[in-house]
Amino acid sequence: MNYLEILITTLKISFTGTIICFVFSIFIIFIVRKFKKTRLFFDFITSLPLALPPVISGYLIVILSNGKLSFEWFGGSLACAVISLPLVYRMIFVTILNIDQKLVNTSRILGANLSKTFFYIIFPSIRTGLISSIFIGLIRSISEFGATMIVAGNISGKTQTLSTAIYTSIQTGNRDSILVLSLISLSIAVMTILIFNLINKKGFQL
Amino acid sequence: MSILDFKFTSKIGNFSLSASSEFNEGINFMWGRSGNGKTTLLNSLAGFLKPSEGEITFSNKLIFSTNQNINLSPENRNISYVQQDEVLFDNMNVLRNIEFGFNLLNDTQKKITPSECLEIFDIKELQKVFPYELSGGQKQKVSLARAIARNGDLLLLDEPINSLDFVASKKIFQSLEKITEELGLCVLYITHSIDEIFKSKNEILFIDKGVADKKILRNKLLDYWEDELLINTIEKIEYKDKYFISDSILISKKPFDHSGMGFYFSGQIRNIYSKLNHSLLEIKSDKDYFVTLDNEILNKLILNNKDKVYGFVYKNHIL
Repeated sequence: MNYLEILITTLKISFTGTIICFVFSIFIIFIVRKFKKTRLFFDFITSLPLALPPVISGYLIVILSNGKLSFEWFGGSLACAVISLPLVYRMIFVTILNIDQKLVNTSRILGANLSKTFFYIIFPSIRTGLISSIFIGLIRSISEFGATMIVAGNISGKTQTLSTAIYTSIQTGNRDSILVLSLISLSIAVMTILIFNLINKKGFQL
Repeated sequence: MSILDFKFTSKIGNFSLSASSEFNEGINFMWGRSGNGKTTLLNSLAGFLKPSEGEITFSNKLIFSTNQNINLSPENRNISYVQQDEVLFDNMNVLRNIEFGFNLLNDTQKKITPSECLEIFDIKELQKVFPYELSGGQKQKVSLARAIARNGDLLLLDEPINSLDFVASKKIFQSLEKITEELGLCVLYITHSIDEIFKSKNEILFIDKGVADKKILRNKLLDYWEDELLINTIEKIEYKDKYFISDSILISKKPFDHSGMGFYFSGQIRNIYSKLNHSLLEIKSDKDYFVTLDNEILNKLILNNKDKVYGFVYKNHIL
């Protein structure tokens, strides 16, 4: 078992999935803020992956993509994005909701236009929240199993991630692999959680 | 022709403000009870709130008009504004906060620099400090300095120094008066402080139940003042480098023949503002003193304008 290859595949799928999820969440929030009546609908849709078994979410991706994403690493990334969506979307939503309108008003009356206000005032105040949401998405994506398994499968060297490799090792009773893969997973989890906590603690000084 | 001229209606939910007035250079006070529309008026002038109809003209330029479909954004109105409970930018230190608006100006607009503002408001030593390290009073000084450094021709102030103690607020107010005169600013000032309002040379815009179209003289304002508010604001007098608030002042037309432990002062009555049960005496001495008296006592003493009076405050009332 090539552990480095598994690690690279896991990070590739997770990072891509997190970026897709982040961009998609921002896009939905933009629509919701622009058309306030759509909030109920999008709140419902983005919460669904949390309530549904991940295998069903994965199966829906296969069906909707007409099988084109099956056994592809990008399909795995999409599965990660869908599963992380409820967490990432809500975290960004709360961050943006908490933007102090008084700060925006102050900036504008001081002569800054909207883009300068966003760059100098809004972004620094939401930066921590946005980075935290990315980390939450990443943590969830790295540990994702069900949906990824259904969409991308478990092809060694192509779509096999840490979670699916552990599954294979358990099936074959390879205790050494289980131990090594579990330790790699644990190390990544500890590192990401530590970084996440550090970001939240440092806040504005980041 | 006035510098600022407006006539508009603004609505927030069920509340409606109908405002019509004009102002010139100098500090112009606005007074009204809470919830009557003072902040709504300033927010409408600043462009944070879009009036439902009307016009706002500032320096001969139409900044808002429903008829002509003009609504300049706040950054293009050339207005400085210190909002109630103003917020500072947490990610910037004091100096960068003050420089924020100044750095967005072109050279011809720069009349006063951030370093001058730091000196005026006595916050030079705070320039490297971040907002979370500041006290409420220091934050208000920084907010004022930031607004002045923005170099707007109209300055809107919504209770800008309510967190400062008497001595500090008096000093700040004096600085503000000086800057207003030097820069030729038009200032609209909301305050609940009787001391500040009584310094007004201009008429005061009175806002009542969502209507702001009446300018009144400061002595007329007392007709709208609650008795208890007036009594509670009896006096704030400087006593050397301290100050005291007291409701135990002896007033006499003759010098006191005792020398008790306390503070003596004397002066000439400049004005007597009478209400139903109480009157406020404005006594001119080396400083201005305001003393409230029961009307019964006032009548017994037979006090009139320009009379010389002597005052004594017990030491145990000196803070």
